[in-house]
Amino acid sequence: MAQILAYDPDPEMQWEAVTSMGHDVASFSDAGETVDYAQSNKVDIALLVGTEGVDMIKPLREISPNFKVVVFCDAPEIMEVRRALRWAPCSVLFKPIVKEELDACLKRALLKGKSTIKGSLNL
Amino acid sequence: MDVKQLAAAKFNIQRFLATVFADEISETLFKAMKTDTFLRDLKEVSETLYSKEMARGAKALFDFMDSAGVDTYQALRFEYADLFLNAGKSPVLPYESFYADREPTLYGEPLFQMRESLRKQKLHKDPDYPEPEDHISVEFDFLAEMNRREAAGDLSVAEVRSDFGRRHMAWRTEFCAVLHFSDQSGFYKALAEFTLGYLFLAHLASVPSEDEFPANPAADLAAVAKALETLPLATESFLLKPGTIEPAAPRTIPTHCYACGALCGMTAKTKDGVLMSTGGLRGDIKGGGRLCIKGGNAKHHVYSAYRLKSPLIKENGRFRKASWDEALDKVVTDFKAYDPTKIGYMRGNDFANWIHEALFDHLGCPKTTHRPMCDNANRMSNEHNLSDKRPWINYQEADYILHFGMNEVITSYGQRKTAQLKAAVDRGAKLVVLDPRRSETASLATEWIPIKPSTDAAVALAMCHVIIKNGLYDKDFVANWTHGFEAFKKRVMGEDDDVPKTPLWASRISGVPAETIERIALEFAKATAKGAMSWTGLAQVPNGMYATAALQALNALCGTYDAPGGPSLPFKRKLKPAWGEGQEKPPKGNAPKLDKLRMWAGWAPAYLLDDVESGKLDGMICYFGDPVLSWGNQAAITEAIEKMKFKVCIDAFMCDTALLCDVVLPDSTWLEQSQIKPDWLYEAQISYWAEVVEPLFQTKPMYWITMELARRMGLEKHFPWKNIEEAFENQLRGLPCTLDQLKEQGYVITDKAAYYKYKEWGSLNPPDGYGSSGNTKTGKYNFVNPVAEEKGVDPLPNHHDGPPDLATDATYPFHFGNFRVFGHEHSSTFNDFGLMKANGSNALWINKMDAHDLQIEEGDLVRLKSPWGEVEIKAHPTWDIMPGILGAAGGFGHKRGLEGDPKFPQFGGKNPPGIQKPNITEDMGGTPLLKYIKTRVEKISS
Ligand code: SF4
Repeated sequence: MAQILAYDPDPEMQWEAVTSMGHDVASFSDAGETVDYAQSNKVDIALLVGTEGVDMIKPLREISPNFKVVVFCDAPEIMEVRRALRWAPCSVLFKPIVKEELDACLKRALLKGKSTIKGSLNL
Repeated sequence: MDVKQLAAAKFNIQRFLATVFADEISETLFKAMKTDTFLRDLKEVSETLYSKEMARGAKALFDFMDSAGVDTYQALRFEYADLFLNAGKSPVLPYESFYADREPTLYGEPLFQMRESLRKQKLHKDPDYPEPEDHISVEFDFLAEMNRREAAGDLSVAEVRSDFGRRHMAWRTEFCAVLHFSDQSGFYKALAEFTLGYLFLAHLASVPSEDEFPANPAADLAAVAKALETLPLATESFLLKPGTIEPAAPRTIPTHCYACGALCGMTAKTKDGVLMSTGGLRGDIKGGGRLCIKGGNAKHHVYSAYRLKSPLIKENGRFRKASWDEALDKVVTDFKAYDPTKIGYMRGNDFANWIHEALFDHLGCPKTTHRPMCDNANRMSNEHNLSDKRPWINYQEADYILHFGMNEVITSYGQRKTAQLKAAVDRGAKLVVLDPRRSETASLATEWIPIKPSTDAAVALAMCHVIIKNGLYDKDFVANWTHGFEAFKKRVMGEDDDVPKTPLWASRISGVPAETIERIALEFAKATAKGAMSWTGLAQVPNGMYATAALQALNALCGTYDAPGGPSLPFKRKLKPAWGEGQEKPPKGNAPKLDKLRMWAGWAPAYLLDDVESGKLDGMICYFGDPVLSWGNQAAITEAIEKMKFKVCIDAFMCDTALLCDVVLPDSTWLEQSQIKPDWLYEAQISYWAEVVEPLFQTKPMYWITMELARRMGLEKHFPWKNIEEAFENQLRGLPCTLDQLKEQGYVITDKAAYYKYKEWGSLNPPDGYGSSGNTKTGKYNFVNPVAEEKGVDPLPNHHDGPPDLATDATYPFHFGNFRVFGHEHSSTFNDFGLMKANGSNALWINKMDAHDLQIEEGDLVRLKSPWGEVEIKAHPTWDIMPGILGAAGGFGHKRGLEGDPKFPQFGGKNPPGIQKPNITEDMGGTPLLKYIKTRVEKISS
């Protein structure tokens, strides 16, 4: 079970697909609250949605340079994917969440003892 | 829309994507995409789709194809070579293995997963398709095949298809981003948008529909598929074949490392035909069961994502893919248009050199090798005064070890020797290192003595002075096994030139205190088991030959050759010719010696521009090695190659030299081809290199390339072997070793090591049948170099100042020298991600006092300037280099591959030796002056 921080500017976003996988999810739609939470709580990985989600990576990496993040696109634009990859996310996935896909992604990202993050691509 | 219709729609789109990424776009497909019907349909869907992502992709593709002109098709061929064949700066690396970790090493876990997925569906990748199974097109083709089956009524594959699509979706999204970033043509950018739009649409279609979707994505998929219907796409899978191929059994293969010249024994482990790891080879005399970081990372070399994959031909300044037939035919036709004595053959690699050298020697091409780049100055002494280029010390029993200008801990004798040196120091042997830089070996040493470049002869002669003056030399050895002692003594004592070579005299020249010289001379003479040796630090400076002779005189005076702890004489076996009974080796042609140095004549690469401008060279075939980055002044070498009319490069990577060539032939790496070889130094071992994995992509080993060139030139009768093993059998005739033994064990030790072999031989030269690179005409150590005497060159060692225009002055107060780092070998390992992670860039070493005076701090960007060029590089102030001296690791600065890839800006270094004076070397053996470049440093920014 992982401690997951979830951020989607859309307050309607439901994260039960993730909780149903057995993870603890702290979800936010406010950027400031998300960073505050990350600062004072143990987080294994953050799930971040959309352009605002990509913007969130920088403050999270200031908290920890190896902060693991997964980016979700709900209307993928190629420039957005390119921008996301500069920030070395574990993966760039599409919304709606597909459980099997996220599960495989989390398993790989949270491999026991793995403290490093995937590489970035300067696109 | 029913399931079958949806599957049929996806089949169409996936087959299209598989086709456009599998290879260059065919002319037929390109034309079909230019037809009015297709463009009309594509435009229509781009305007009517509900999905704005897919519509954007369709619109981008329409815009590109609609505006495509007559030259567009050709431009796309160039773009394909840049993006997919690693000819360009930012290749797209279309493999899941790359995206799994975003690390440019292929053949990772996704490859095995993909093979397993294929097996489960009783499929395998068409062996004629030269890409691995996790290539984007194979994955799209697999999905298309699953959809084809589903559309045909086999609903059992639905789960497989959807599971596969989900697990292998994310990396394709990243691939689209990379493709979009890297493409310069517009076509692949449009395809990236199109593919991303499709992936998202397919994703939406795979999740349960919800209210938020404005429409059923399946309808959009059907519309796109319909627009593609007019294109001439395969109706069946075109990259997959029916039938299950079971995984190949795991193998443990004894072989040898060829990442550097040390040739350590290696054990390679494979899984399903893929190299998984490399380790040491027990019992092997070179590695002693160990590998260094380079050997240990060999997997990242073979599977580097930057490998060249296909022959390339340059047209209008850009590369396009060519077949082997086309490329080889072009090489032969173009070659025949020139005088072969003006086409140079450069082999930077001696892998299976018996075959390719035989061809080019026969054709009369002037040849050059690594030799005049490395230490030819040393050889002009050792190969005539003694019997081998580099007699190496038996450290096991040494109690006093003297190193001049070599960094043994990271250099190329082999890991066993390195371990023996460390063990010797651990057990109390004294190691003294003279070097301007505190190298890794100098750090290990009992004593590091900083010395100015090109002054080693003075120090070594002064040591000889102390030893002779005190009568501490080995009188028996000197009397019986040396030649010219009296003349040498006169030189040392100053009786022939009025300059006694005293420690004080040497101190003024070298900066080494006179007391230190005196002390180490006495220590050396009085030690029991001792040896002195040097390498390129003495060669790549103006006075290399004499410095080496002066240093070896210490060994000769003290009778250390073949003594415990001293330098060993060679006792390795020579291989027999690869041409057996009834087979005729091609006779040698009349290759001219391009450059005449005072002791050596041949093709000295640093004079390339002179040689081209004076009409001695019209072209070059370059096999391995990167002249642009290693032959001297980078601008001059570039200009020379650009001026050549015929230029071909054979390499595993797009090196800077390949970039300037008209034809590039992709070489297999050393783990994909085989050879047998005796040790390059003195060990009595014959080693085997196995073809550990089959050649990747469309690469070919040099053996094959040579055979094909010879056949096209009508020389097949001189290259008669059925296969390479027939040649190996010939090479082993009469030797105490069989090919089967070599294959089984990886090596055979042919002779037992022994001390004082020369007493048994009656000469310092080894007997017939044994290989060595030199020959002493007297059978003794020659204090007086007999070949120098013949050539009218002073045969006795002395100190000589370098040419006045290379001396430091008020404007250029520093001497720069390049050095080697453990993590790289020359310019050949810079696409090995494992090594680049550890050594991804280089910096300029500058003494902390000098840096302080220039207000330079760690990491500052500085301009290193010589009268002949400049380079910008980050500074590394340190106490580990003497004042007035600058240094940097060599080999960096590639335009292509990982160093040049803008996706990885953290990797990449500079090539400071590229600012040396053009068309100059030391004057005896033609070695470039890589460690004697006068420079200044200017701070650019913090
Ligand atoms: S020293 Fe390293 S690179 Fe050289 S042969 Fe040995 S293992 Fe390979």
